[in-house]
Amino acid sequence: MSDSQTPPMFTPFTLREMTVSNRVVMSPMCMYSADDLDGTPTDFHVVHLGSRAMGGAGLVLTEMTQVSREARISPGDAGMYEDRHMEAWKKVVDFVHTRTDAKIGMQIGHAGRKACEPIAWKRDTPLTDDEKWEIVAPSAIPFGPDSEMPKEMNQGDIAKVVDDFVSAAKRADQAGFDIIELHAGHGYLLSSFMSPLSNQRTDAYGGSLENRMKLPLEVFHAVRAVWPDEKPMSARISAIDWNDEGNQIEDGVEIAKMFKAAGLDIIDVSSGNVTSERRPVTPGLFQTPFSEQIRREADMPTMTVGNLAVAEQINGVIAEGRADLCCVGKGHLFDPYFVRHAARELGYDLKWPNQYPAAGVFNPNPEIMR
Amino acid sequence: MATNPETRTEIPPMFTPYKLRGMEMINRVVMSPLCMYSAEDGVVGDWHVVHLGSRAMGGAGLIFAEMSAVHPDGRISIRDAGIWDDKHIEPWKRVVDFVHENTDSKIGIQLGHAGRKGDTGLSWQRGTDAQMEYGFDIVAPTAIPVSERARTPRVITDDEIVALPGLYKRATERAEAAGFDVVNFHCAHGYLMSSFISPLSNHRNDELGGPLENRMRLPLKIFAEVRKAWPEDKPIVVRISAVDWEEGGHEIEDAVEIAKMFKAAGADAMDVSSGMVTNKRPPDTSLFQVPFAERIRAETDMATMAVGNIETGEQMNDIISNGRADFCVVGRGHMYDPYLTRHIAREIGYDYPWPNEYGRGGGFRSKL
Repeated sequence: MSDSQTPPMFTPFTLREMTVSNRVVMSPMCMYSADDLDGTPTDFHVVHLGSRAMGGAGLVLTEMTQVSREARISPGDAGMYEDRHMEAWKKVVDFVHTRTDAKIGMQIGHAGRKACEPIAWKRDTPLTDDEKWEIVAPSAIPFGPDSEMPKEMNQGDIAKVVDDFVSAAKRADQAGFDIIELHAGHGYLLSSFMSPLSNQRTDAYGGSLENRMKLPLEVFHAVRAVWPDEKPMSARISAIDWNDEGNQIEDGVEIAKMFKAAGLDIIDVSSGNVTSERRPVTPGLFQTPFSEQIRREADMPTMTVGNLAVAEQINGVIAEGRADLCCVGKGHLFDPYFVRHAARELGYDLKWPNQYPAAGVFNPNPEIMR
Repeated sequence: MATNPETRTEIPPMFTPYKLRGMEMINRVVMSPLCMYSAEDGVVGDWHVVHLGSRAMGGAGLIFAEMSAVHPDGRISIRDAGIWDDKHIEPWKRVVDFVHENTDSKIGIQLGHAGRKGDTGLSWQRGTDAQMEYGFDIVAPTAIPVSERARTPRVITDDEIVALPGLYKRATERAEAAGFDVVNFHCAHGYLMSSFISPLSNHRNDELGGPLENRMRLPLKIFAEVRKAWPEDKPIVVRISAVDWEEGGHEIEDAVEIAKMFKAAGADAMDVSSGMVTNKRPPDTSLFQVPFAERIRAETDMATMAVGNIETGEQMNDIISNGRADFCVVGRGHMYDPYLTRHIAREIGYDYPWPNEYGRGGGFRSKL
């Protein structure tokens, strides 16, 4: 392992043949900034992801990138369902690989019954009928009282979704991504199959947890089959539904075990957002206990996410074995150089890019960064 | 959105707007031009989009792109950014468009010619085995090397002197085609214009050497060409070395005269640096150049930009509110932190709007 001088967050970590130089991951965050109605990432994504890769995170994950046009949350979502998307993403990947030490992964997903929304900051202006598209779900149950009624998926719809994930994964490989994360959390399509709150099917895809996991695992197997052996895969899950009728942490552990048995390398442990009921606003590392329990009971690597704000927390989580990687979302929005600044705070000598030699001797007012 | 109870009702001085000709800046923070040594044949790329784009997102009112060469032999290194060819327009336009479409910042380009400081390699290779010379044809007012170790430049020919205003003029036209908001005319740090201005590097005995009027003749002639080629409503800033930090070189009184001459020629602001005209190092202490900006501002009534070791919001607010300069140019701080301006706003409790995409970043609690 590493010498005792290295803070835990700056120790490397290997999944298959991908080694990240530290334990900080930029969490996938929807940017709603793809080219209008087209799903193509733009220079916004080059700057957004590129600057955060320069900022020192070991791994940056793209936003949830949709596997088909109808899979989009909003018209501003980024996609991976056209070759032009692949070309545009390749530019982002190439920047990260040629200019930084970071790895870059793509989170692929399907919004399911949470699709067909206005972009986040235009939620007050509903989409017009022309802009809308048909949304699908395991059962015809809307996400919330104000949500559109989804169509219950038939076998043909299910087969198309599997194909769409596979095509997106192939393009992600072509673009050079180092890792894929399946979005199987937060009430999006795969998650909506996994939660009994949204899946009331009576066929092989509903009922018991095994049945509810059938589609997510089919997708996983199909993607794994086309994703290069040397590259790892992750899945983000909602470990619990924050609802008495929904999945509890015991289910989260079982879900992780099933993914592990299927060959998943690491599980990214979030929670809730499976219905419009808000999860409780809990300060601190409210989701890390789920990561810790899954890591211990499913005996697999985990990522924890949620309210990680300062270096001591990350060091603590890693040192105490509560997770293997720490996803930082808001902290990376606030500060693209979150990891570099954490290194400075810890007195860890993280090398600066050649172009920024003077940064190493800059003496910031410590109050700025705290 | 909930209001931060600590948010002040008055605007901190550094966050007050300022207008130069038709260019309206939302605050007084300027990112200094910083050589990136990351272009190919002068063509900027993704590096520059990310470098400049992320810092514009970071909230500075104005971002200066690095010194960009008006001629390939006027480059410090083979990897300098350029503006000497039409092929440079589109890549620069990509950077400018990003800034205009995604941020409230303005963006300028610094026009330069390295003169006798050309062909000294990439900064991180200087003094190492990796340092390369590429045989640029380096020129200067007089055949004096910038240091004992440096190559001796060739005296610039009369034809080349006649051609120079045209090079700058075309570079200016390209900058306009790329959509830049402001030009920074680089007349500092020992590069070609500066080497004409300083008596340490200009020993000519024709009409371009001797008294300050003569040493300023070529820079002013070029400035006039740039001004003519640049749209009336867009400002021009001139970076100078206010003092040479060496016996026989310029003192602040000379700089005041230089600023007056540029003001008479139509310059809108002076970007007041110092030294680096020879290999003598400036003292580099805290805010060591601010007094020069203050003096020039007081004596010429021009807008000034202060640069050098400005690190904190408190320093910037003091500089602006005490009338020592109109803008604070921050280089190092922007290398260290692309979101320097946003982070200072947070620190001083000023409610600075976040991009839609980063709304949640505005709510990040960076303290436990």
